[in-house]
Amino acid sequence: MSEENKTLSRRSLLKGVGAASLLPILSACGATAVSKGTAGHVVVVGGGFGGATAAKYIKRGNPAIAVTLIEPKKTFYTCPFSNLVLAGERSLDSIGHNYQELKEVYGVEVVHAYAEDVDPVAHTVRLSTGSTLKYDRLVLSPGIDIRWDALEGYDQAAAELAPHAWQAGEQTRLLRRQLEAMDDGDTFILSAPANPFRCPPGPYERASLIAHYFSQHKPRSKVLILDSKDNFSKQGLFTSAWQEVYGDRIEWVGLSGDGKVVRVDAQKREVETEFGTRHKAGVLNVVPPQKAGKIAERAGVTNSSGWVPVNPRTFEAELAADIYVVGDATVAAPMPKSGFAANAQGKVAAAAIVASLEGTSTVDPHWANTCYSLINPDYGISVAGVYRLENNEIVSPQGSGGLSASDADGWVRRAEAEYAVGWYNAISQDTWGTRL
Amino acid sequence: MFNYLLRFFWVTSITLILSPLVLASSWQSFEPVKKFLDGSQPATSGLKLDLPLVSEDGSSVALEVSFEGQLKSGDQLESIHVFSTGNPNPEIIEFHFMDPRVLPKVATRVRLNETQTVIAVAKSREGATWVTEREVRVTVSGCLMRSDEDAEAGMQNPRIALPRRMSAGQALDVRTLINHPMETGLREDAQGKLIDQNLIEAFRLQLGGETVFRAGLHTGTAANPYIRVQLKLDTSTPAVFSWKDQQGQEVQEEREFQLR
Ligand SMILES: Cc1cc2nc3c(=O)[nH]c(=O)nc-3n(C[C@H](O)[C@H](O)[C@H](O)COP(=O)(O)OP(=O)(O)OC[C@H]3O[C@@H](n4cnc5c(N)ncnc54)[C@H](O)[C@@H]3O)c2cc1C
Repeated sequence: MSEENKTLSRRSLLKGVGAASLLPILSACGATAVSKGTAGHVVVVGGGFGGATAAKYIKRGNPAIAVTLIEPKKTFYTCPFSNLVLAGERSLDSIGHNYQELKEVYGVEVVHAYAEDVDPVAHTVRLSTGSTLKYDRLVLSPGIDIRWDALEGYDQAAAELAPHAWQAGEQTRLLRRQLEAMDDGDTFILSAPANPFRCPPGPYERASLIAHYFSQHKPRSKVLILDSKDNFSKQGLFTSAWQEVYGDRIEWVGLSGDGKVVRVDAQKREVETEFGTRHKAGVLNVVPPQKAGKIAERAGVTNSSGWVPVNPRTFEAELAADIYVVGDATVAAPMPKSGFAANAQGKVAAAAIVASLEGTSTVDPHWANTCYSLINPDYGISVAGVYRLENNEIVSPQGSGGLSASDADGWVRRAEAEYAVGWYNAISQDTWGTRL
Repeated sequence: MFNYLLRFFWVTSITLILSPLVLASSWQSFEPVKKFLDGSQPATSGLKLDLPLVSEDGSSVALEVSFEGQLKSGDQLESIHVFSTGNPNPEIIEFHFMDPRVLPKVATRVRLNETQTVIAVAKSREGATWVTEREVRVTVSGCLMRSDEDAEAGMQNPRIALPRRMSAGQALDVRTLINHPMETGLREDAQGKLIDQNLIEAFRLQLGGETVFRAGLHTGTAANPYIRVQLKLDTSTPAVFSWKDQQGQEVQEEREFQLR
């Protein structure tokens, strides 16, 4: 989908918008809860992959709908490609995006504030600025929040010493600085969480790219991954690529090898595992247990797992009417918590919202997802999935999707690294209109 | 159209409210459970089963089962059995409590082939029974596809973790882990040949020479069996942890519970 948008010229885009604006006439009699005299007001919380996409596609579907996007940051730094920033292969600026296109091309009202609370009955959102917004439909795409109470010793203060860098920006900068300052010969330790968490291959790509940095700048340093799982995304591909490219520089210890970290001492940069082994790091990166962004909890749409169950046909929250939730915050497995998936879900929610405000209905959605990971800047691997609805559940049809071949040639790996860059540019363009 | 929307909201809210009531309980018609209950009428509260609502890796799903029900004075909890309704074999794991120093609260990791209901049943010495069940959705996350790897066949690296500080009367978490593939006998190798079944059958904990807890492991127990038990002790005592496989091989680990 992103490729398609990329090639749309401004004119055909406007034409598309014009055609869509005819739609409300067809449904003028479709009385809904919408404020009289307007096509409705949608508030979108979160300007990341899911939220920015939803805001844009609601406007594309029907420009008469008023859309307000709430996002505290003026520049959004993506997690995708932030591992390249950690490796010194890209600048943080190069993965920053803004809201210019949403404002200027699509007429989205962007408010740089934090949404503090949602009243699902009154249909209101309270902002950190003190003002309260009324909505007809609400989209939440708040991404993840860290479970600060889930791992002994790992709280907000600890994250300043042992960064997670699982939300990009300051944390990415901090971890990069630590890596640069680390002594050659010291070990970089990454603690990886149990499922589900944001970006299943992310920790392993990070380990790879940091090993790449070490191989050029700290030749005596190693990477140790302590994992709370026995299986991880693209495991076979990662493991053999590590061996091929980095020899024994990267070591992985899984759950059944006593890899689960149960205590963190951020001051000492030390961790303790389930069966009492202590490891000391030169740089300690804790990817902690996660949950849906806080605002989802405030809106009362999370279940006991800490994530948001949704109707997968529309991505409307199961636990509240008129609130749509997309992206990492949702329970959408087998779709992964990826930027690609958040973007696709944002479009599904946008279509469902436009239809519900117009009193029409939508067709059953289907999705695709590709997660590229870089072993080094010239070596890419990927996993692709196709998803559709069956009995109102998301399923991955038998035989669809797949992994990079395990015995592929060097040029295939190089090509996949290029596709990764193409993917990044296309999805950025589709989500924020940023051309790099 | 208004109707359509209204109907939609109705439907969602109705299923939300009613589903716990209208869903028939699986245990009533499940043979292995009926056999365990042997005609007794189980209590449906008191036994607690904790599993994730959704699991992205059915080969290792965290499970905790605990008993908080009422026992008649003098009676004791005897055993808890955990069954799968969706695996090729129903047995997952069973726990036998032989001593009040072992609290009826156990955690392990299990295999779930597909989305299904997991049932736990408990029995007391005097024949009172309890039942509870949980639905778990199993999906392999799109980014989690992987290839099977062959594990080493024998029992290796037994691990025991005791609390660092232990005092009398306090609930002590004791974690155990041993590396073993727990071959089900249902899996094929790369040539399409069935791999022989090879399981650890039993785990045992002895305190001061007396067996106080035993677990029976089955094909539904995850590879690299992990068992966490809770103890409450009055005095320091030596302990022996042991695992026994189907060939009768045994691995033992000795530890000391040193109370402060
Ligand atoms: C290291 C790493 C590498 C990754 N690589 C890839 C990759 O290669 N490909 C891929 O597809 N995915 C990748 N991901 C995953 C991807 O980053 C996430 O899946 C994606 O960001 C999810 O989108 P989202 O909209 O749910 O959340 P986000 O993109 O995080 O957006 C959430 C936004 O909501 C805002 N927000 C939160 N709460 C509030 C509130 N109360 N009020 C207002 N605003 C709020 C936040 O400020 C944030 O801007 C990677 C992740 C990591 C950590």
